[in-house]
This record gives sequence, structure tokens and C-alpha cells, in this order.
Amino acid sequence: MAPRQRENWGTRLGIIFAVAGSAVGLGNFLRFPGQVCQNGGGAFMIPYFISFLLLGIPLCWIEWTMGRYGGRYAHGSLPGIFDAVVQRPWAKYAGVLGLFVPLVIFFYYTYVESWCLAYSVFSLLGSYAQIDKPEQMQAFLSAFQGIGSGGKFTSIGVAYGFFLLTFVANMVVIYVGLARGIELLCKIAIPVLLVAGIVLLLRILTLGTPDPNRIDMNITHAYGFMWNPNFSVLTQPKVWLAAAGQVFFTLSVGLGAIMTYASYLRANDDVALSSTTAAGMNELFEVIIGGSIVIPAAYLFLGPEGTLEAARRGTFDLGFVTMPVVLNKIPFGEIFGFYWFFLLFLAGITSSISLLQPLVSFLEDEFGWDRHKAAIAIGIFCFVISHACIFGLGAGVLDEFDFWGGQLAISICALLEVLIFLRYMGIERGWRELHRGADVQWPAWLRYVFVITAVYLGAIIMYWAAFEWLPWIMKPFGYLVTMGLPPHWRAAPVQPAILWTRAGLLLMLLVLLALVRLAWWRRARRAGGAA
Amino acid sequence: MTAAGWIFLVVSWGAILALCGFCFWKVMTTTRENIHAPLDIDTDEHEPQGDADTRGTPAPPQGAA
Repeated sequence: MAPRQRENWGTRLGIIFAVAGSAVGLGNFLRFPGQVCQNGGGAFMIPYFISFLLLGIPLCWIEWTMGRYGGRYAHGSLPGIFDAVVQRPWAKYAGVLGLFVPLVIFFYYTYVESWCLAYSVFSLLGSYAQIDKPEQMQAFLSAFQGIGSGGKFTSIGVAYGFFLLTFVANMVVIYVGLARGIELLCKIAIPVLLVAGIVLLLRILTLGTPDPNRIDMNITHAYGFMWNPNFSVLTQPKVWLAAAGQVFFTLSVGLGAIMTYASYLRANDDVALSSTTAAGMNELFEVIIGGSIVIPAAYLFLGPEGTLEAARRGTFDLGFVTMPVVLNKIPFGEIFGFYWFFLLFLAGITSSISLLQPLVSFLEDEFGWDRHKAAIAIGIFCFVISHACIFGLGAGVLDEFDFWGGQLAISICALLEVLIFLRYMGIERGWRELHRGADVQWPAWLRYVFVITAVYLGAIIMYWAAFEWLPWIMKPFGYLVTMGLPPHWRAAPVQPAILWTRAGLLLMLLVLLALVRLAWWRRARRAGGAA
Repeated sequence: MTAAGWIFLVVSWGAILALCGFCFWKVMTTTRENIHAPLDIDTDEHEPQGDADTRGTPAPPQGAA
């Protein structure tokens, strides 16, 4: 076969910003602060940092190392990377999770991302400027999503328009290429994100005591609500699981995206320092910026009970219901509302483009397609399937995609990566591979952390499987399972729409497996022909 | 905000800023500014030329289907 040129990163900062951009997403600004205030305030940071060191950093090292290794054999997606590392026929099929996960997440993530773009425009236009109660904002959101009435919107048309805009923006970046598309966007978006985050942080810090009649609701108490430690929660396993889950999901590991990005590096380019830098940047956006905006701002206007209630309602409520109401109450709220939602949009788009790259790389590397052809094919496929999330939102389709792609498959994929790294690359060779061409030498005893990572991740996954995944899986079949001693279940309504969604996801997984089979069959035939 | 709250805030922020500061200092002070992938990757799949450390490197995949 004639030598083929793969794309490459233009600069070292480019790949660091691209990986950081992939990791920095809505979870940094919405999920993290909610987790902190629900799980012991400052005390939550103890299990959080332990998880970061034992789970987050080692997983990043593994992904960067294996990704660069796969790139040496012209593989940029997980089937090829696993095949290169494991050299067993089954490995490429295991790697199909690295295509399935980003694809499934992309289907709904782009739609959620488009809400951020829409709300930034609404904020500038003053579309929700009169709303001062969370219930009214909830009605506004439901009407916008086309799943409720009584709000400003009579159909899903506006939401669909913003989805189209967001989708096209994503596809243009992917179509243009690695250096001129992804890298350029991230090199602009990450600094803008940082500046916008700092501006918002400073605005929150200077709010003082917004309501003179409620002097207890001031900025010092707001930060106290977020950071005062409650050490008693540290005896609760759920707090440690929440911290591990937050670290795991915030770093974009288990997606295959980091591996794909790293596969475009040269064999002796540094990964030890670059991976740690990207992970550190993600923490900067999460703990310092993300942790300083939503909860303190909500506390100033909703008080402790209102803030806790908003955090319990979940990430989306915090972002699209609570924050618009809060921002409406501060001077120049329209401008800061625009800042806030545009910040979320930028965080979203730098993540969503990374979800497409593994698929593009798979078609380029394993089928020999050019980027433009691959981008168009993937774009058409994603556009069609995304409609299930848009129009099935009320029926729970989006949540189902999130469960299978964003929780279950991603966790299993990450565990597979660690196990394959340990079993087939090994601690010693893996450590050498990590430090090949490295600009920093981490202490050698740290190499044993990978074993702890595998055990840690395995234990968390076993807990999730029993207490979260099993009840979720059984529910649409008509069983409400409650784990305990002994476990018990009771009947519930069967949910056909969800069962059809699962059938569709299963079909997609089978199609991806068939594509992997086809790619290697063609490769074997080519090799046979050449011989 | 209690003293313990301040301690957790300052230590958390400090740890992250120190990590980022160290990493970026190392990144910015290393000599190679640009990174480039090899111009040509031979997909006939053998260990690339100039690969200094090949100890324990497995044989390339054989395309087993």
C-alpha cells in the first residue's frame, strides 16, 4: 500500500487545548457545583482530589499513551488501537465501544448545546427578562423544548432552528480538519472561555448583599454555603462515589476522544506532561470557575433551601431554570446572561467536536476515506438519529441515550482500557511508553497507581451496576427494582418508546461491529493481494 | 464562611493553580514549539524507523479478522 499521510497537530498547545476543550463541558459549570453543595461542601474536595489522583490522572495517562501508540500503526480509533496493543482478533470488537459511546453522546449533546446558544440569544433579546420565578422559567424551558405549553413558544420550531445552527457549526469544524478546524477553534475558545468565566466570577464576587432586607444572604455566606466542610459525610459511601463519578465524567475518559487526539502525535512527542496539563486545565475550569459561579449566585437570591433544592433537581434545572432567574435579578443581567450561556455553548462545542473525531478517524484510517467524505457521511447519519432525541425528549429518549452512552458504555469502555493497558502493555512497558520523549519524569513508584485505578474503577462500576444501572434497565420492562437486603421489585408501567430506543441502540452497536469486521476483512484481503 | 471553609477553598484553588502553573511553565519552557506527525505512515505495519525504544514492543497487528 502506498504511504498515506495522516493529519497532524499544528502546535503543542493546540492538542493540549483540544483535549482540555473536550473535557471542559457543561458538567464543569453545572454538575460539579451541585455535587459539592449536596455532598458536604469543602469536605467533598477530599474524596474529589483523591479520585482525581487515583482515577482521573492515571486514566488520562493511559488514554494519551495508548492513543499515541496506536497512531504509530496508523490507527486513530479504539478498534485499531486495541488491535495494535492486544493483537488478538477480539480486541478490535471490544474497541467498538470507542465508536459507540461518542456517537450516542453526540446525538443528544448537540441538542443540549443548542439550548445554550438559544438562551444566550434569548438573554440578549430579553426574551425571559420578565420571569422571576423558577416555576415560570420551567414553563418557558418546557415550551421551548416543545414538551409543554403555556410558555412563550407554541412549537419546537425555535429550538429546532438553534439545533440546526449548532449542528452545522459542529460539522463545519469537523469538515475543515484537525489543525484548521478543531485546533483553531479550541485555541480561540479556551482563552475566551477563561476570560468569560473570570468576568462572571468577578461579577458574582462583587454582588455583596443584593437584598438589604436579607443581610444573611451575602457573598461571604454564599461561598460558605459552598465551601464550609461537613466532615460527617465522609463516612457515607455515596459521597465517595459521587466524587469518583464527578472526576470520571469530567475528564472525558472512556470516550475514545483523547486517544484519537493523541494518535495524531509523533512517536516521540511528549504525552506525560501534555496529558497532565490538559487534566489540570479541566480542574481549573471546574473547581475555580465552575465552583464559583452557579451556587454562590443562586444562594444570593434563593437562599440556602432554594439553592439546595435547585441542585437536587439536577444539572439541567440548575443551568436552564435557576441561573436565568438569578441572572435576571442582577444589574445588566441580559449581558451576563449572554456571557453565561455563551460560555456554556463554547464549553459544549469544544466537547461535541471531539465526539465526532473518533468516527472520522475510523473511516479515514480503516476504510481509507478522506476527511470530507467521512465528515459528510457521519454528519448525515448523526443528523437523522439526533431527531430521536429532539422529538422524543418528553418520552425519555434523550435520558435513555445518556444512560447507555454517557453512563454505562463509557464506564465499561474506560475499565476495558485500563485492563488492556495493564494486561497487554504492562506496567513497566506502559510506564516507559508514557515517558517516551517526555518533557517531565514522574516518580517511578507512581507506575503502580494503574493497579489502584483498575481496582477503584472496577469497584465503582460494580456499585453502579447493582444500584443504578440494574434498576434503570429493568424499569421500562415494568419492574421497579430496589436494591437492598434482600432486593425487591414491584410492577410498573411498561414503556414501549424506551424499549424501541434500546432496540435502535442495539442495532447501531451491531452495525458498528459489522463495520469493524468489514474494515479488517478488507485489510486482510489487501494484505493477501499484496503478498 | 468559617475558617475551615476558607482553608478548603484556598488549598483547593492553590493546588490546582500550582498544578497548572507547573505544567504550563514546563510546556512553555521546552524548546520544541511545534509538533508534527510523520509525513508518511507506512500502513504495511512494521515498527516505524527511528523508533529508539523497541524493547518489549509487540509485533504489529497481523490483521487477524
